[in-house]
Amino acid sequence: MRALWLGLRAIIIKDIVVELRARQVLPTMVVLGMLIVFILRMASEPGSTAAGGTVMGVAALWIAFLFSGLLAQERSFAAEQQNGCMDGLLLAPLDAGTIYLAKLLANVIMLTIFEAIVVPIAILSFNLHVTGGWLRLAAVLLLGNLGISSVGTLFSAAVQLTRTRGSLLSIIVLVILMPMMIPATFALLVLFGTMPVETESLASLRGSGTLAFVGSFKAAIGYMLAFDAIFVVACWLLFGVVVEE
Amino acid sequence: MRRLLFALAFVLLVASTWIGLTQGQIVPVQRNILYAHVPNSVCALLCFVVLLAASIGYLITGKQAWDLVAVASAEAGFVFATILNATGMLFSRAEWNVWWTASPRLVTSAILWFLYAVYLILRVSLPSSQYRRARICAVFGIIAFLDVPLVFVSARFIPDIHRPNFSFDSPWQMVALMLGMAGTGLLAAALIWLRTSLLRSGVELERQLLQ
Amino acid sequence: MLYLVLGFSIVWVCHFTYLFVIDRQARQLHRRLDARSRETPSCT
Repeated sequence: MRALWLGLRAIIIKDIVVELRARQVLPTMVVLGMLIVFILRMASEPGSTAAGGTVMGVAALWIAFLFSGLLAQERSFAAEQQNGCMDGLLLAPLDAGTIYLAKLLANVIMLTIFEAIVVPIAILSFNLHVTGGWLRLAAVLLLGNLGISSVGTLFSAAVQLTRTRGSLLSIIVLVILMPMMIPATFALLVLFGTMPVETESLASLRGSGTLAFVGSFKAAIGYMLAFDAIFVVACWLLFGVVVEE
Repeated sequence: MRRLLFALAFVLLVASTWIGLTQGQIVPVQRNILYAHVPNSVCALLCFVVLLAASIGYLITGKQAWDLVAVASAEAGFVFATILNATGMLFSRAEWNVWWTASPRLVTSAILWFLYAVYLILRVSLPSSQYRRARICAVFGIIAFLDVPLVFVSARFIPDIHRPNFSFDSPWQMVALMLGMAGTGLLAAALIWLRTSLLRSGVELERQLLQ
Repeated sequence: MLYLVLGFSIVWVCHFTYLFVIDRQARQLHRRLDARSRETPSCT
């Protein structure tokens, strides 16, 4: 147990220190995120109503998240590959699963720093009102963060040797994360006040039976939690397969 | 044997269409696309299950045959998913006058199609260094399959829900549908079988050339 | 009505396209196998 913790800490600290010294990826992520927010703000200007603006704002947030997250994940194994560190990592007395968890946490931290900068910018530029509470907003963003990082870390290691590295990683992560985006968008729309948390009209749309919870914020969070749990565990288990020679 | 399967599948499909259109015709005539739509949707999912089984089989045993079955079922599944989406869009246009809407079924079929597409692209892009490509594709196959039930549940969050209810008016309709499903299922099996044996011959040829 | 016809024709077109692709691959394989069997007698 102690070895696990030591190994984890070592890799995470290594990644963060490398990033702090190189200062390459995080600024790129932040600028990319800001550009995406800016472009979508400009694109939504002509038809701008209050509700429409909120929808575009939520879309901009998640798109910026996804694409900057992809940048972060690509970095997490690209440097290893280029400098031959991958062999070093694998030879260390560490379980492959530990390497995965360490990289995952490093990516989550990077994305959190990103989100701390870009989310306020998005809120300001789209004039969003956080009616649902900042704590809930942080929770939703964290869950999204974990989902993106979990799948991205696994497949970033997988696509290192290909020519079209970045784009390949993009299509993989985007397709796997598609189902999470629906409740994620729903949750953010609720938090920013466009969609009522619980109303008559939504209640009328509900099906009956097992899926009767449709349309509530709690369900969206529950879904994202389940999604993250399933994928973190699955990717953790499968990471060893992906990196073995 | 394979030819027999194909012929049988063809016969079943024609029979299903014939019976469906004559005896068991659904009243607004466009709805008859369902006779093509439903069997294909079932088969697209079935191919995914085969893909999962083959991926797990490959990871456990390491034999290349499993990997080839996975590729074959991904290709067949891709064809079925394309048909599923196309007929789904036609149905939605005929029924609700929109080509596409954020309805759970349409979203689910779209994501299924994307999953297959990414699998095939992954297959083509990875360098085929002995086992690496097969392994990574197998991993993707498993992760993608975990995605499918999640897609079903998440699609329910979309507020604007068209949920058509289907009930059978006459037993002929059920017969036509069952025939269609049997035919498409046989077609799927035959396609996967054919493709796998082709791939296997190709691999065998490569191996002989290298010696 | 048109949609119905379009729907069914898409089904058959897709199936036959895929079968056609497989068939072309099979022919290619056959060609290579034949070429190989023609040139091997000299090696062994």
